[in-house]
Amino acid sequence: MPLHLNLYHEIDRQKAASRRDPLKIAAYILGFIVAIFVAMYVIELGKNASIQGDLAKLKAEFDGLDPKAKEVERSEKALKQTLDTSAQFVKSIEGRFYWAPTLQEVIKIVPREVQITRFGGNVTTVAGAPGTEPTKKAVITVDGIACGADPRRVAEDLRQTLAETFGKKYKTSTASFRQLDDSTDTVALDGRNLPTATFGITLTVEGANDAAATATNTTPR
Amino acid sequence: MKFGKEEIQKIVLGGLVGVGVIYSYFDLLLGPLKTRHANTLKSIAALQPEISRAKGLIAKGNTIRDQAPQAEATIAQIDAMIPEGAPVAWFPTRMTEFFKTHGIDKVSTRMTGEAPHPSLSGYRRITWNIEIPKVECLRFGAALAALENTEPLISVETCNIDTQREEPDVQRVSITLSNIVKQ
Repeated sequence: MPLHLNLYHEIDRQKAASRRDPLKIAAYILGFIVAIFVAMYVIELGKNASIQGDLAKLKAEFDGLDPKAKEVERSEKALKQTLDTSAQFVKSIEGRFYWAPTLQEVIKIVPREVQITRFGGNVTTVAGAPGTEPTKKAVITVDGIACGADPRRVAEDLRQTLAETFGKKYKTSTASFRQLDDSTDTVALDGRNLPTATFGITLTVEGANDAAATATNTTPR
Repeated sequence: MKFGKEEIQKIVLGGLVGVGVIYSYFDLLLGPLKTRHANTLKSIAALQPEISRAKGLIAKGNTIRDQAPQAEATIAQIDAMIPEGAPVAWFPTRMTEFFKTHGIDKVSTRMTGEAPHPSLSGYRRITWNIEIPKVECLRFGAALAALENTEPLISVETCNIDTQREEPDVQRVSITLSNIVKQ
């Protein structure tokens, strides 16, 4: 093996010492960390710029919509009042109680053994449960004279027929006697003299009346 | 490896510089950026419901605007049914003429009450009493049906029909009705 003489050992030692310089190593590490930080910052800045762009777009959209919405809100009050008035008119017109079909129905029901002497009635508006529409309540009075072998039975049949007939047309229907008295008068019917009874029936109906008024064409009794 | 005094000083100095750099980075650069980011997100979150609300208002307004012409037409139609002038000047005449066309000659109409309409602002409700001293019940029934069908602003509140002992073929009728008129 040939003899090898290193005449630069001092220089090599200095170079090795320089390579192991902790400050230099620390500077490299710090530089690396700074580079990572810069990269993170740039990424964050990019994200921020993108989100700022989104915000600017939304602000522009809102700035465009807000005056329109305020204008709509202003005009909505007047339009809503128009709609409400129209709806109230329709409700008021359609919610009326029609007397003509009621009268027609009573005329149809009354048998030939009964003479009506007085027909009356009045309609009131009844407030419903919260959240429901008010309903019309009609109290109808039918007074008359019933004749027959058993005039009280004739009057009772009329009361029941009134309750049943109007019960089909209204949600609630009740008919009750206000009075039912035997009379000393007699009437002639089909060649016979029959005893009579005077009666007064109160018919109460409540609920929507869908039927529109129709012309009466029943023959008189 | 052994560090000399000078090298230890350099290491400590380097460490201090490192800590300073890290602190400055997070506190002066990345921190404010993150805060700004969070604030922007908050602003977006606050703006989105406002935009939705505005869009909803505009959509609702458009729906109402679409319905408005029909409602305006209904109101105009109803307004056209109400003659100008004091109701007491035209309503009794109108009723007399109406019943006359149905073969009922003697009709007396008088006003019994007047109040603002409870649910229609700008309109009044006037109550009238109509007396018909002599009428056949069926003739009256037909007239009443026609009245209810052709006069939607009239609502009959009470109806009384009495027979007359001396003239059993005719009845005496009294009705109370309310009519909607402009304020």
